[in-house]
Formats: sequence, C-alpha cells, structure tokens
Amino acid sequence: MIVYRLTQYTARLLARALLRPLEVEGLEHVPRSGPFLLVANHESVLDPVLIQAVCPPVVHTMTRSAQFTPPGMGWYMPRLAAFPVRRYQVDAQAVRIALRRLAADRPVGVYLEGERSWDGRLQPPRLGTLRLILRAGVPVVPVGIHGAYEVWPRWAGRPKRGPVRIRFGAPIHFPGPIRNRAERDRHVPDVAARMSAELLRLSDGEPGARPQGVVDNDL
Amino acid sequence: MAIGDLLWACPLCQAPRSIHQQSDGEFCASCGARWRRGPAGTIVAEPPAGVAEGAAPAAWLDRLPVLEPCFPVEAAAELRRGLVPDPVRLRGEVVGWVERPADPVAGTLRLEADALHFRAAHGGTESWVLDDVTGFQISARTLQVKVRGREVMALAFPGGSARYWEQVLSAALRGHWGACGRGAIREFQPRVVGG
Repeated sequence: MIVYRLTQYTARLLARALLRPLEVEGLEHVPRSGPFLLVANHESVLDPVLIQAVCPPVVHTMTRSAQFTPPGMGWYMPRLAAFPVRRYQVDAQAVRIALRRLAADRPVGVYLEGERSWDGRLQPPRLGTLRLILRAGVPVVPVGIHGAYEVWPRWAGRPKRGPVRIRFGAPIHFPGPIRNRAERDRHVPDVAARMSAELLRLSDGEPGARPQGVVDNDL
Repeated sequence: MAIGDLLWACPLCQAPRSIHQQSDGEFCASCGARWRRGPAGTIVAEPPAGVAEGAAPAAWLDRLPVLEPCFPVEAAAELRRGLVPDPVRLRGEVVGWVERPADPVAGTLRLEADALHFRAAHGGTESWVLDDVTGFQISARTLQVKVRGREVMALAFPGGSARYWEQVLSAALRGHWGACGRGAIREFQPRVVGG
C-alpha cells in the first residue's frame, strides 16, 4: 500500500507537469467503497499509470504477464496491485484473482480491448473481459481516456506533451453474477455493444469507429 | 518502436518492409519519402519531390496494400522461448504466473504456405506446421507465436517489422485453412478461431 500510494503521488505530480492539461471528469461516479470493475479503453502505455494516479481507491489491475518479467518488476508490479494474466490460454488463475479481489470489496481494473490500440481507434472488446463482467456481477465504471494516444502512441519511442482527459462514467449494472457460461454468452452481445458505445462516448471516439463483434480470448 | 513498426509498407509507394530507421529519421528505401511523427499523434510523410502530407495513423493504415504473400517469406529473426512459468507472489500469496523468456537465439525465420521454419545461426532447424499455430499477436517489437503443446515463442526482427510478419502469417493461415477445407478464420488474436 505504501508503494502504491507513493507511486500514485509521484505519477500525479508527473502527469500534471507533463500533460497539459490533465483533465479528470466524473470522479463522483467512482464508488469510494465496495467492489466494482473499472473498464477503460486502452490507447497508450500511460493509461494504467494515469488511471491509478487519479482514481482515489486502490485499483487492482489485470496486467499482461510480460510486464512482470523485467528485473525488479516481479516485486514492484504486485505492490502496484497488479496481477498477471497470461496470453493464448484460459488463465483461470487471473480470473480467480480478479473475483477474489472483488469478493474482498476491492475494485478491479481491466481494459475492454485487452491490449493497446495501434491506430487510436477503439478495438473490438475481448470476450474474456465481457464474460468477466457478467461473471462478477458488480457495478461497472466505464473510463474513457482521450489524448493519451496523441501523447504516446504504441508505435512511438517516447512521449510528447499534450492534453489528456480522463472521464469516468456512471456505474452500469449488468445482469449477474452469472455462473452458467451459456447464459453468460447470451448476454455478451448486449454488454459488448453497451460498453463499446459508452467508451466511445467517454473517450470522444468517432461513432464510425465503433468496433464490430468481439475477440475471443476465452478467459 | 518506430513508424516502420506500424506501417509495414510505405503507404505512398506501396513497397512492403521499406520504411527503415536511419540516423536522421525514418525513410522509405523504395521511394525515399521521409516519415516522421507529426503533431497530435499524426504521422507526416515528406516525399523527396512533393508536398508533405500529415494524417492520422488510421488513415495511413487504410492506404496500405492488400498483402498477398509470395512464399517462402524469409527474414533474419531472434527467437526467445518462454520458459517454465514462475509464480508471482505478494506477501506469500500467489497472484499469478509469468513466463520467463530464455536467451535469444539468432537465426532465420522462413514462412512457407503450410509451415514456419526457424534455422538457428549456430545450426539446427525447427519447424512448426501452421495447423498447430493456435495464436499469435505482436507485442512491442516481437511477434509472439503460440504453437499447440509448446511454450510461447517471441520472434524479433532486427531491422524488420513485426507487424509485417503478423500480416503475412495471417494471410498464410487464412490460405492454409482454406486449402485444408477448414473454413474461414473469424479471429486471429489472441487465438485463432474459425467459424
């Protein structure tokens, strides 16, 4: 917790100094207690840092396992409340950890698209994320990040100064918790459409960029 | 990362794998256009003779040619395998697993219509048939490939584009599935799914 708060404080200072301006809207929608899923769009490597910098409660974030492999990161990342998810397989452990955190009244952060966008457009949602939303049955707080792609796109080696806006939306209550997978899958298209539309709205994405379908990562 | 990682072909002259980093910027080896990062996340092309043109990355991607690979496709590559997963612990609790990558092995990657082959520089060749490729995606500058029953492999392409290889492997798999009567591929990432 000390490491998390220190990092949060430092990230807040750096973000306010480097991102001009950093605007945060809708913080009143973030519950101060109890479990919820924070679901954001993912356009830059800055996204997790910015969300943790501005979000008051400690957010436990599902993070690509490769982030834990550089020296020291195996120690540091868990102290940032991050837990790893492995690719190309059903990572039951990651889902278990997410549900365990939620059961302990802690918020969990995930990205709807599962990975950073290459071109700044919102990508189709990952099926695993949608299933997790329905499996968890907790309020979903959508977060739209706008401008982080322009500051540090995936293809650029370093950031440039620029404005970033983080907008939290009102919590959405989807049906759940749904333990039956077939029943969960019946609700997937609705959740996909609603979440994509909400993240597009909050991140000022172009309506024409609305993604079609879902990506099956089978979490 | 570089613009050449995103644009696996030059959108101006359509030459594949032609945008390369040089000491004073990124240039297309085919038409000589200079590519640089513009304001607000845009990419600017400066042709040797002509007017500079800036556009959003999505607009440049829309101008890339349709890739029709001519097999075999070959490139210098570095292969790293994911070793046995290690647990990640926080105060004694296992919070997940990560794969520690092994040391890189330099060699040559060769893609044929039905298989991938990696020939190590120090000798020895490994092959993976496309039927066994269950997933692939790019991460940073590597193409990660998952083969059934094997650990994840990360392939880096010194001086090349991982995105190009993502495109060419997608095209190869699409063609292979069609030739085998397995139908269309619905999604490639992070798992290859038909239907």
